[in-house]
Amino acid sequence: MGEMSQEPLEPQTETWLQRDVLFFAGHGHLFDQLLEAVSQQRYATFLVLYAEIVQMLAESPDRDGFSRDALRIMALSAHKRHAWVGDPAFQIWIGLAFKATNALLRNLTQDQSVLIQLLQGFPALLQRIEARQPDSDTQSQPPIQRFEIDPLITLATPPSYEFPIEASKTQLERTGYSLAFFTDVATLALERIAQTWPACHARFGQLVKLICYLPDGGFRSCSASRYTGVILIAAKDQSILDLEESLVHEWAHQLLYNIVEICPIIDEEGPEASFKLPWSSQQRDLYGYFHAFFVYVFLVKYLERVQQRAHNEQQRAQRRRAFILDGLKKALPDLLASQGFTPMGKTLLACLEQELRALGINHAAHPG
Amino acid sequence: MTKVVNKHGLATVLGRAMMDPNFADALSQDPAAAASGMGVALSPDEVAAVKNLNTATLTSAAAAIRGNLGVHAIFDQQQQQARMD
Repeated sequence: MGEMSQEPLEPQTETWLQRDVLFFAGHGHLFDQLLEAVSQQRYATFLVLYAEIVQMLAESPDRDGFSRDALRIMALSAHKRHAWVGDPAFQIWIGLAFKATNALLRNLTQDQSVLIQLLQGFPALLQRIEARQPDSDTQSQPPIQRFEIDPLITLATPPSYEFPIEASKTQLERTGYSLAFFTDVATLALERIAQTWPACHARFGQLVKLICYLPDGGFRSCSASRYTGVILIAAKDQSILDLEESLVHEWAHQLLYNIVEICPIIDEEGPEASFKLPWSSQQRDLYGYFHAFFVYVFLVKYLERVQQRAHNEQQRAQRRRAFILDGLKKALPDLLASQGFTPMGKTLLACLEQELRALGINHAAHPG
Repeated sequence: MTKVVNKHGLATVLGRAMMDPNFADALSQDPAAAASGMGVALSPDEVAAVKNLNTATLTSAAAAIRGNLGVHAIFDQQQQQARMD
């Protein structure tokens, strides 16, 4: 789970903190190293959690069952183990158990009931993950769901979204398009992403594990590090091009959540600041501002690749690209002036700045 | 040293590795030998679980679970990237 306030991993992380790696201009193996480093961090966190829980709960009858189940995960091949530990619900469980264990170890509470409850839910979690393991390793399109969501994910999504209670589902099913229809449209949007930016599409399923179609969502799209791997899409996109943008947008957030897991970018001791997003006028702290900046650089990269489409769609892509780029130019000085970045955060910002400068030159030469 | 077959031996061994980077390195390289030095016999599955473990990540996670989780700690219910534009 993201942002565990762990010490940054140096110097290995520096190797993939390069513009060419992040934007797929070669060095695919370094991008793989980034994902591998995230997997290793998640597995190490699970091992630490296992060791602390087993040693701390010596008197609990729930310890043996957890220990046995945890060993089942550890005994998998490294590839399968990483897939299981990287499951969004598993990561949410780790996040909750980590927080509960931390509170007990630091004597912030003596009450073990929260942790015990999590241990008791662990076997059922493993069963659910086993049931949804993909048949092949090459699945590039994640499942799309509306109501049949893992209960741990529904626990983590508020306040982004409150999944309805059973009695409300029937009424909600009448709102928006059906899940089957949305799945067809999303599949088409992903096919277009594959044609437009193959390298991005090839990485899509590695970072996005579940798309939740939530037509009653109060956002256009949404995600958070506490449920990394899950993206929420409402019904506010006006076209398939818009949906392509939403998918790439949320994919890029996932990439940054993964980066932050192993490489904190914001200095938590740094100055507090609030910024207005140039694109929506929403207020954000530095972390949120940087997230938006990071994502919008990717979106400009995507939209500049939108070629050979119908004339009106081509025009919409160009207008949208110009709007996003204008916001990026406004945001860049704010971010460069901020004192709130860690050294690796500054390195990442420098990568984006380089990319933006290149994009700016391109746009000056080929105005949309 | 007499080896003890302990169903929680892996947790004991990991507990030491979390506190002792040199032992963590030894465990990662040769889990059976390192555990044996503590009098613990690891099963083949347990050996596989920690073989080639990235010890830097283990140390980092071990420090985090006993440390202050910080302002932007895990499971911050307020943190989200909701897009409205």
